[in-house]
Amino acid sequence: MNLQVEPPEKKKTKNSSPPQSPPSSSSSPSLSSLPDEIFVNCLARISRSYYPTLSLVSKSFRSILSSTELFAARSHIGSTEQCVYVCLWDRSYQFPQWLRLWVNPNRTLANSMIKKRRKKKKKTTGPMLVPITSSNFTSVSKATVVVGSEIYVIGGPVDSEPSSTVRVLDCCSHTWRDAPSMTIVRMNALACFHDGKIYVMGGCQGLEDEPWAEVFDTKTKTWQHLPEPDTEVRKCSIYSIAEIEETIQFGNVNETYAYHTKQCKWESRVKQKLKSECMIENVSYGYWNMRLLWYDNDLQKDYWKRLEGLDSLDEMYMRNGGSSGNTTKLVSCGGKLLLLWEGYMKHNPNNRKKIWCAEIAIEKRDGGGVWGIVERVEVLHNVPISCQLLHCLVVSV
Amino acid sequence: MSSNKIVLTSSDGESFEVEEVVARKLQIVGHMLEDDCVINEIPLQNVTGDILSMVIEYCKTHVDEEESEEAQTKLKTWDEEFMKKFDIKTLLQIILAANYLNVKGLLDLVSQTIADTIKDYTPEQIREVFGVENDYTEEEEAEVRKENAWAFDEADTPKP
Repeated sequence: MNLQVEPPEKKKTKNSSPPQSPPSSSSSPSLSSLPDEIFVNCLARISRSYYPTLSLVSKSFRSILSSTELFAARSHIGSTEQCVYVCLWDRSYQFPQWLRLWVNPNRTLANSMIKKRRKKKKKTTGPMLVPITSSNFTSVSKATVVVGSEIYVIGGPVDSEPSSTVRVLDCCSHTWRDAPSMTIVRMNALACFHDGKIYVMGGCQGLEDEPWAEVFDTKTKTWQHLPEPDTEVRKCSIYSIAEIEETIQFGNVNETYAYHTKQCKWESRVKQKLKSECMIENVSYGYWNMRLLWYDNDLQKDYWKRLEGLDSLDEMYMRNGGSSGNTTKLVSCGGKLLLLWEGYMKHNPNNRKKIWCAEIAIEKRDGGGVWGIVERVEVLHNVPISCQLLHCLVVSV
Repeated sequence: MSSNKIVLTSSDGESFEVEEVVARKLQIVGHMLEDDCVINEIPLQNVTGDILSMVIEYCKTHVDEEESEEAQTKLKTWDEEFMKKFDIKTLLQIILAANYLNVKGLLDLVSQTIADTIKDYTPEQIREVFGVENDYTEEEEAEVRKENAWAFDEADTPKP
């Protein structure tokens, strides 16, 4: 063996050292001299919430941070993160506003942990809703689904009219594109994504031969009609839709119907399970009647129960304008629950209201109970009083 | 386990005799061995002796990838300690070597270490420590800063 050279244990402190002497020889590489692939691979491992700051380093940083290669690498490495996207609509807006929830990454770090970091302002910014490029598509359709890292907005109402248009928001680049239009115009349809396909139901104009439901194959990029259901299904009013065990279940408070995606068959009056709004580790969660409920899918015949430990949240929710009449959205993001609500206050001199967000960690306790631990409750945004919280979607990017 | 020894020679002429199983962790060597089994000395042109010795140290430690949780935790701790030994300049050299020699585990480890370091630095620190040239004009930088104004405290604006 010829190991006379021991690995040099250089211990110079990063910050006190002068910048590397001119990159003369290949023996002192700089970050930007790395092959693109390696550079991308490093940046892809960093949380997206740091990207605004990193974009300032240089042009190549900025261009890599918004490249498709970077987002491909994130999904390859498994460093994708769940991001919350929100759509707000108000008459005073030209287009529905799409925003994403951004959490200041430095907020969670104690100042002392960051060496040489200049003293932070006392006021640190909390999570906030950051606008992204609007689509010039004025649809306020409920039929909105997440497919991979994209959000599809399907059909009307567009200026109160039905529409067959489909617009897609790419949540990596924050750009919009068109997808093939539906075969007919729809308004207030509902949509659900399952196994590479988007199922769109209802929202028809009551014309003859109008396909009640159609499905978009995201691979072949084509629309196809589903077999026609019977009149009872066609006439039902749909308020919610969800995929459960390979069936698309939809309906209202009283009735639930189903479409079996494998057998291509419709079914009426199926057992109702529709309360679920999101799922973490096979436990479903829903927000109903101002109550946060859970349901364990691993147990046969489980029933909906209240999440324990949320009395203070209930109180805060009511005190800050949450009510059954106002929109409240429940999503799961990064293993936690997020409850977003429009905080409408009766006494309101400015004609504004706030969008609130509570972040709730989940703890399973012995004896089978599930507890919610409220980690923070904050105002995300301030909007006109007539503004509607249309969508709250979670996308892995 | 094979006790066959392989000699790896660096660009600056340093030689390292290692077990074949260790050498095979360098996929570049693994492929050469598959092509011709009788090789026992391999010149590695793109890596210097001091860097190669570190790559070998990594490969020796990771030679048996044990599945057990205990072994994994131990390796993880070793990895962390191993990475602490190096400054940025050396890390960048190791990452290039890991890429050339095709040692995936090491490539991932150094990439992660660099990522963890970058994220807590200010743009100015990144430029300084990693030798990145700021190719923005003042106007361009202000523009990018404005685009994401919500992300910055005043504290982050560069001092005049």
